[in-house]
Amino acid sequence: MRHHHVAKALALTLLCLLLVPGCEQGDEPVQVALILSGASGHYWENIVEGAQTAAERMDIPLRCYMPDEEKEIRLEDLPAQAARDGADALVVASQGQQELLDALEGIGLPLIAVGTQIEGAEAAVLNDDAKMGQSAAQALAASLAEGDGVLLLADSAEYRETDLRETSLRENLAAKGVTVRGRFFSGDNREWAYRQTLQQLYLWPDLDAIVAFSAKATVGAAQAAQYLDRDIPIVGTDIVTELIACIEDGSVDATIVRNSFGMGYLGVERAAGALRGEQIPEVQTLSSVAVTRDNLFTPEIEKIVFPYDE
Amino acid sequence: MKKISIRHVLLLTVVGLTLGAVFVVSSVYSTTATTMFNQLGMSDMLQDMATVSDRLSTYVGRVREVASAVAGDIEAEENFNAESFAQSVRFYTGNTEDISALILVDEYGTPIMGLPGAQFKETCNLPALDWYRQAMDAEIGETVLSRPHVQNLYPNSYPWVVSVLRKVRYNQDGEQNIGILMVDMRLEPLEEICRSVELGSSGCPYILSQDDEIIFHPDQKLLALELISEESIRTEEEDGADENTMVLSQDIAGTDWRLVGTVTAEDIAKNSSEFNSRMTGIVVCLAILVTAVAVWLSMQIVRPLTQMQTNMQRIERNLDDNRISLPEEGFAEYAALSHSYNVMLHKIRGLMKETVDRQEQLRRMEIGALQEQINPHFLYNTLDSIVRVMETGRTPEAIEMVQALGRLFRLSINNGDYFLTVEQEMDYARSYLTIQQVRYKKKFRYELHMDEEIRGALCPKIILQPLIENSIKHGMSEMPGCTLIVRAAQDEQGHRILFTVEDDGLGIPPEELSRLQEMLRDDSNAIVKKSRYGIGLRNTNRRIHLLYGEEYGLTIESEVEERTCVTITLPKRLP
Repeated sequence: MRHHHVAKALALTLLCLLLVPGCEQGDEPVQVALILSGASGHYWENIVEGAQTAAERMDIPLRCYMPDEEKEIRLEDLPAQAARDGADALVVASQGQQELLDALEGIGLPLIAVGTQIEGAEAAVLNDDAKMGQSAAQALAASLAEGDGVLLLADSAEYRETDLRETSLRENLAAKGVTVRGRFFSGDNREWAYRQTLQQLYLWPDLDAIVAFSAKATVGAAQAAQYLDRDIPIVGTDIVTELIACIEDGSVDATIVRNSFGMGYLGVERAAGALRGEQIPEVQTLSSVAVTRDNLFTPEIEKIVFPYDE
Repeated sequence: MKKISIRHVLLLTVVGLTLGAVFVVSSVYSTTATTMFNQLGMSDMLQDMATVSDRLSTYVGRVREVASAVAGDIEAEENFNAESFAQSVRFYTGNTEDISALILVDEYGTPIMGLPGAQFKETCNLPALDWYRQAMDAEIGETVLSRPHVQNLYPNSYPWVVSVLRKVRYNQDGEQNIGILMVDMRLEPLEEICRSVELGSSGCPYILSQDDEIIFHPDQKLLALELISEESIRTEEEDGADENTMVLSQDIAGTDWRLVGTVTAEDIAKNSSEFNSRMTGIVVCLAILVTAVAVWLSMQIVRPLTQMQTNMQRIERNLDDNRISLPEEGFAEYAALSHSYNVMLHKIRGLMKETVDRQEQLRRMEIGALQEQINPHFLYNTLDSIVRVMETGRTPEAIEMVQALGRLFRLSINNGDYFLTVEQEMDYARSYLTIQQVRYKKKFRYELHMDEEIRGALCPKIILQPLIENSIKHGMSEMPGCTLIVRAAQDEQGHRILFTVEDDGLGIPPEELSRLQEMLRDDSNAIVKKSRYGIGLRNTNRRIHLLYGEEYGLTIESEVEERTCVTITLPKRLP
């Protein structure tokens, strides 16, 4: 009887060994979840694209989560959903929304913050917001004189990085004696920015420049200025096709383009590194670039502004 | 030293030999296959590079041909106009989507005519571009390829293109002008061609210009955003810098570009690695299979041996249990071995039984001898004789008899020893004869002779007395004046002791003699019962047989009214 057991065990071992070459051996694949607090817009789309490129290069499954009002998907539910779906690490691109920060507490997964720092994150890939404010001020420097006033079209009152950028912008403008006359929130929405710019230009005909903190808002502001036939310096943020045309025709003087693709890319790369137990940089700040009519078609800027695959 | 078991020898031999052979064969096979796979892998990659290079060359060549053909038409027309230009372009380009724009501009960069249109954006400033100036500096008919750039001619359209520029002469409104024919070739097909092959794990090959400027790279966005280092782009000059990486390069005909690909040693060895892992898998399986078979085989061989060993140990413990024997089953060799063992076992048991029986008989003989020696009749008769002698006043004779009787008893007890020396045995015989001579009123005489050499040799006690008793009783009691001679001697070789009891009495009748002789040859009870000489001779003979074997014992010779001689032959044993 005992010999029968031995024979069975041997047969089973042999069978397993014969099957082994057919099986791929290796580590359990890790899954990374990308949680975005925004869905549409150049900034978010580029983060997603960057994250997907990194995931593809590193052969890591990536799932993206973003709020959707129509489907009643709330931002605060996304971390738990990602954990339920089997995510091993979270890459969170937020703008510091409190409900998201609350939801992230107690999730217990490695966290990489993208765009905005999150307390407790293993690593953060951030944009140099202070530098952006400075670049915007520099882009307007030639067109402004002491005592001039600037209209600011900000993203949202809740966004922490907008605060940093705004503070930097105000400081740099103040150094030249320029003040921010008004600040309005138009999000990344061309229509809102258009209306608000129209309204403000009516109200303050002596406005000397406009700074917008999103790509579509910049386009809206430029269109409003064109509509009123006002030749007013405009400095925007990020890039979309309509904005390229605005820069080309001179209706927008410059746009400060963030490396949001890089943020998404490095976010996933850091997450993979953290899961592998590698030493990863705690904070990395990616610099932005000012795109003007003069440098738009230079080889360096072309590669950043015009995606190869579009 | 610990002895090695058959099982281990079998296992080590079978497994060692088989696995050794498998490993040697597989190593040789694997080495050969690895070389072959590596050569094939390298050749495949070079073939892929050549194919991609050819396709790229064809693609660029087609666009150059279009540029050349349209330029030919432009130069041939005496009065070139938009209509003939459109005809020419449509004729040569057909429905191809590879060409994004085909434009003729004057030497100042102003569009003369073009497809999809000759109306450029105001912001377009061709003379500011280095590659345009390079084309302007070229000879008529010379073709210049631009770097990849974003086409900035038409509103809201920003395709990536490579411009094929050709300086041309054209006639318009009766004037000969110099211009540039610019054919914008879309970059996307170049990418598609490059991406159509996988060059190892590093990805598809990339295109570099003469100045190592990137024309196409699969990761050019990452490079532009500095997400990966430009150091990852290798040129053939760096080939050999990293021994693990090989840079393959192939010129793209019709351009000053070249196709570059990097492959690692792992990429080349990918197929051989796969083969080797499968080979290893097979070898491991074989090793397990061989080990399993060897274990099974050794079990088959050794198990019956172990069983046999256990049975033998059981038999050893219960040797006298006739029911236990080795089962004669299994392999023929084992069955034969078991059979032989069983035969031997049977013989051993027979011998053991014989020995036990012999011991039992001997014991009974001893008791018989003892009983004979202290025969109450002999004692009463002796004591009667002593009384009679004393009554007749022959005191010295009485004393002699009593002393003889005493010696008789002392020697017969002899501290419980079974053996006496020849001298003691002769002394015993003498004492016995002393008593018997008085009892038989000296009707016979006796003599005792002993060789000095055998004085100390050992013999079973009281072997002479029954013979002497027979001789007196049957040979001499009826015939006064006889002589009894008892001798103790050794044979010529000095190996045997010969006791002879000889008398010149009545002798034994021939029938009786032959019956006695037969009895001494086969001392069974049946024969003895028929002999009147009886038990004394037989018992003595039997005792000697049991003690020393059949070659020793009694012989008897007799002639009627002449003599009777009984000889005892014993081995000469010294204490």
